[in-house]
Amino acid sequence: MDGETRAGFYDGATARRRHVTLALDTDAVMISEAGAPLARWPYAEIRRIEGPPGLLRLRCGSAPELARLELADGPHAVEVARRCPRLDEQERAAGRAVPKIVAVSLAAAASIILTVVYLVPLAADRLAPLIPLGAERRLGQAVDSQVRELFGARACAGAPGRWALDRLVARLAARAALPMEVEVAVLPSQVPNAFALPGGRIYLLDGLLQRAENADEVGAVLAHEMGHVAGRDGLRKLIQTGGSSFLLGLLFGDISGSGALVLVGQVLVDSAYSRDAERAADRFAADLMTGVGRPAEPLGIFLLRITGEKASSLPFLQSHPMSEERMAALATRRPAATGAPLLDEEEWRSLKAICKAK
Amino acid sequence: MSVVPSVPLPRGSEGEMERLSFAGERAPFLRLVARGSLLQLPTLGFYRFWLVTDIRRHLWAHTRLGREAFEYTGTARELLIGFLVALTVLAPIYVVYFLVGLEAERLEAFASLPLFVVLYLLGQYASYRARRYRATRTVFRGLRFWMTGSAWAYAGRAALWDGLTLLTLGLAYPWRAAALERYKLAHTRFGDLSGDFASTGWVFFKRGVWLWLVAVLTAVVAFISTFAAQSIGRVAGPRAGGYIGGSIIILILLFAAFVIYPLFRAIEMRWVLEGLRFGPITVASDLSMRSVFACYARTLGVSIAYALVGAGGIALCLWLLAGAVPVASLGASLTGTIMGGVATGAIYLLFLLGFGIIRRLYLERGLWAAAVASISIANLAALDDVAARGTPAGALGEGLADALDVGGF
Repeated sequence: MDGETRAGFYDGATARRRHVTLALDTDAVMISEAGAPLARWPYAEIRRIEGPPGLLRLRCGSAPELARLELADGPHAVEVARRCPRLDEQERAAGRAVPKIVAVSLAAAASIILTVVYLVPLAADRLAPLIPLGAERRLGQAVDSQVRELFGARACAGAPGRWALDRLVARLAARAALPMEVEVAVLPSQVPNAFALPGGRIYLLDGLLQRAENADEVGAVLAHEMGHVAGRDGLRKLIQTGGSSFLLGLLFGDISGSGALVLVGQVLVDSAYSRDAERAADRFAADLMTGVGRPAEPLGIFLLRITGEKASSLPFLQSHPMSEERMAALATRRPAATGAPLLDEEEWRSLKAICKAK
Repeated sequence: MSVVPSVPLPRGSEGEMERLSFAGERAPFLRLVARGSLLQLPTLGFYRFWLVTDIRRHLWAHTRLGREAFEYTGTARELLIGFLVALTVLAPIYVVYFLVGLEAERLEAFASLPLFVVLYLLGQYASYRARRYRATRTVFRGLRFWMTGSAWAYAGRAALWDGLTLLTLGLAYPWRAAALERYKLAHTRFGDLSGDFASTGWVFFKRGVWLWLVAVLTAVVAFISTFAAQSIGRVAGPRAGGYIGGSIIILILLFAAFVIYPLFRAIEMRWVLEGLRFGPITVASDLSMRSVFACYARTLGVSIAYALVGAGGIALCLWLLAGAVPVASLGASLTGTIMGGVATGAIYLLFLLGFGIIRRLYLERGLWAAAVASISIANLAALDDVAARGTPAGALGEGLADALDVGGF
């Protein structure tokens, strides 16, 4: 091989292309322009850079960062490449890095999933008691205005029915030792449901009253919702859902449209958490009902009548435990001594008519 | 891609025009994208930083001006760090967003609108910073491009112009584009050579106004036909009306997405390319609407073919499965349901991945190749005296753009 190798050279200081000759020394390539030496690139410092086809493009670790040497493909380029022992080191390192990237990504994902499944609910449980009741009430008002908007109706307040409801609430609340005062209202909706908002507001829907067969059933549902108030479940759920959607959404939300899968994961986590809260509220209701000398079983019977559920193939997607399972848990709870009925016949009739009275 | 060189020489040029060319081939690019896309699966998407870096390195390296090629010096590690830093910036913003949203809900105010504006501004800010990152990682003849200017000033301008564009139903868009391109290019440098944008909004407007009329006409047709479908629904039943209305809407959306938008992109791309200036260096482009339209048409065609083949494959699998196991009983059992869910998820990902690869191969690479091949540059002799300036910028903008989903290229 003769020592005259022609190449293009950029010194990294100007954009001028220098037409240089290369002399291949024992440990370095000597770059010179018209006989004047320009640079000395040690072979060990030379790396390849991806270039267009037909071109060997080189940089040198000890040269200015953007200095480049370009050789057209051919025997000269092959010879230079042969002398550089670490020419493709970067490429090889990139290849070796792939398993590491996979491992680190999986570890990161595992850590986030564990955080969402275990740590976020734990944090929600610990944080909720620290949040002042005033703040929870404000939060409840925000949700409340949405609920009112949704049902688009005023709460039913037919006078005798309202009195009966107040009596029922007072009897249960006196025993329940709730952290805050509850406000119970009936909304004129045909949906058989009841729910508790953060801040102690409980809504019974008229559809639920209509399908109840006795005061114990309504009382037990009320006791269940009081369980949510006692556990500050609305607040905990807000923290938990907010936290997990924050973590999952921020990190995985935008992976080229895989948002739908993230959403599925979110639903799974949320409903698992919600099922736990429901079971706890059931236990609370059972304690409360037996505490006032009434059986807990009507809650289970009532739930089963409303949902008509037997077994679903997707229990892990449900936000509530299966009614059968809940009934079985409630049926065993009986009061030591039977107390007075929650409402007398007259009161019970007025309660059922609360949305009919003007 | 063979292009007939029919470029009118810009005035004042010394006549020496050099053509830009794209030397990349489709097969190695496909390998690169397919490998990177598949690696997104076990890395839960984190491989995107490496994929994007590989794609850019490939495109830059195969873009040649005469015998000299561009070079992309960015690394995936930088993008990853930029993303992580962006998360620490965004996390408190999201929390504040959430709390303010709650309060706003309580007061029943329209406070979600200003919140949207904040994220929009942040998106514009990110896109400017991301452009600055890409510029400083673009090396040509041993020198890097770089940018000055303020990303917030850019975001403010973008917001005002976008507001005006909305108010004028898009008629102000050419001037918006001109103002923003001018801001970006006036703050872009190659070494010590200043960039500039020489085209005007009026030129863009004259070239594109017919397309605006077509778009307005399409909207009017859509409006009228929905009404027509409603009246048909009254006569022939809501189901027939729904079908007719639905198919009209789908046709119009397809027309807008695969005819109007590509033509608009073609007009805008060519106009932007022709306006590029660096000192005495001028750029001309003969980018044709046909070549841009072809990229979109190919993307759509291959996507449909992929969807059909994929659906056929799934149907075949189900048919084979139905022969092997009693599928009906499988659906009722818990494990069957879980298996079904996992299979659905896998199929979903497979389609997602496939469409992503097709988009990158035919749309992104196709548009890049078409744009590059359309460019010729005059007064290159001026490059010889350009001296190095500027330092690499951080990747926060890229990270923000990624997290906010406003990423450019």
